[in-house]
Amino acid sequence: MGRLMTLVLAAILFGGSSLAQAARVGDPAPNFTATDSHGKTHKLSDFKGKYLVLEWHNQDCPFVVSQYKGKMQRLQDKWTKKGVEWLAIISSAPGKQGYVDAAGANADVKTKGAHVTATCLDPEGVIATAYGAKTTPHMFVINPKGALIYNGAIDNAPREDGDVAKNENGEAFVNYVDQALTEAMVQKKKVTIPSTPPYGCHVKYKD
Amino acid sequence: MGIRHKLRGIFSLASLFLFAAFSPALSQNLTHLKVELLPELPSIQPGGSVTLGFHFRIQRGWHIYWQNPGDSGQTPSIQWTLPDGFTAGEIQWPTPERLTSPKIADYGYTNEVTLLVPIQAPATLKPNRMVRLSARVHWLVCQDICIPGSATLNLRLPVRKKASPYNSRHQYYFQTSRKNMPAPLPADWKAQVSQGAKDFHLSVDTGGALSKATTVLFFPSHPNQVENAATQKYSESGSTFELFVKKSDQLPAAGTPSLEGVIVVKEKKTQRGYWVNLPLAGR
Repeated sequence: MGRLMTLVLAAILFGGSSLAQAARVGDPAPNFTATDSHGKTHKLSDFKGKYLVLEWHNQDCPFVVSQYKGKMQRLQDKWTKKGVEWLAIISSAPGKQGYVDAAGANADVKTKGAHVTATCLDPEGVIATAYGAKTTPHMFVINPKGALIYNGAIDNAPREDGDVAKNENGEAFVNYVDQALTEAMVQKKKVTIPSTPPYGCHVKYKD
Repeated sequence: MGIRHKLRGIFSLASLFLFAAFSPALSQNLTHLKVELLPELPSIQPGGSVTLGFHFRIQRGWHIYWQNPGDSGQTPSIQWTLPDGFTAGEIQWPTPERLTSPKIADYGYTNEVTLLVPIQAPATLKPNRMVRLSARVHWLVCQDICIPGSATLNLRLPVRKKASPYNSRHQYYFQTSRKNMPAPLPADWKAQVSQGAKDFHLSVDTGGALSKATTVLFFPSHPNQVENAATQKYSESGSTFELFVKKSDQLPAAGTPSLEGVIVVKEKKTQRGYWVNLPLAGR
């Protein structure tokens, strides 16, 4: 019994070292200091008073490629024009898929015609770990008070390349980021779907 | 060789096609895997059912996904085009493996796997004809990187009044798949789950049958229930084993009414999966 209790305590105290302090909807969003592809530093506190979207990005992931056939650019364009700040974050470790240096990130933004505030380079995976980013694209929406209001997938149609009215299960198409921003920022109400399982390629964390 | 011989040759070829049951549908020119659609029995009966198998052979180092892919990836999907009155059942998934990369855990299959789908024929079906069963399959195959794939697999199956047994090399795929299907928990095992603020606590009394267990892992059947990449803390005491599984940070505040998934017990070289759906008391 004593031994079992010890094991139990050990499990409670030391169990699970993975994405232990990931971001929970409703809580203050984890703080970060990020360096973008132009060498500029961004902190979470810099965005106070504005809505902020974090988009985990990997230019070679097929799910990201699919979104960047137009859907992602239009979403970025729509919301950044309304004053939303948008950070793409690249957490691929050197040597892994999607890793780029600053010049590579800038070229990627230009080629895709992305409408982001900045692209942040996180090759050590520090920001990804703080947020518990699991996939590309994994999306987070933070409100002007710094609270996380959405954490999850970009939409409910992981198998669809283009624009669709319904997903493969016959459900009406929902872009969760668009819906969260519309509800919180435009309609001033609570986000109805604040959390979904993210889908996509896994974030290529360093070994 | 005379014309008659040639004709006979053609006839025997034709009869071969008629009686040789079916032509397996094999995907061509795919990246990192091959997929084949096979019937478990050589014919289908009016009002009867036959199990079809999607046999995936996956390149070494690559994997496809379970019904809950885990932290990333995508579960395979099947869209059927079937003759009038036919229905396809749910996919039956063999026990998966846990596939880890830094800070990520996924659930899926390596090497080879056969996903099973039962097909039901209408009672009004007329015998002595062929039916065409067509499946559009989508999957994601990953190593460190991921590549989506799809194939359309067509199977022609004869309708016969009576079922007949079947001996083919493919039986092995079905037998292996059935052997690896998660089973119900043995009747004399008692399982329960409770929860703390951060963990689910699974407790299983096996009546002593489990002393050689080396590892036990829980595979959640739904996403966003547990923190997939967290270490699951295992302990044994007498006839009971316990597993602490970290809750997902994305678990709704209201929690979940039950914990559903597969408990996989690995002893030396054998492993067995057990389906559980355990009601959760409040914390």
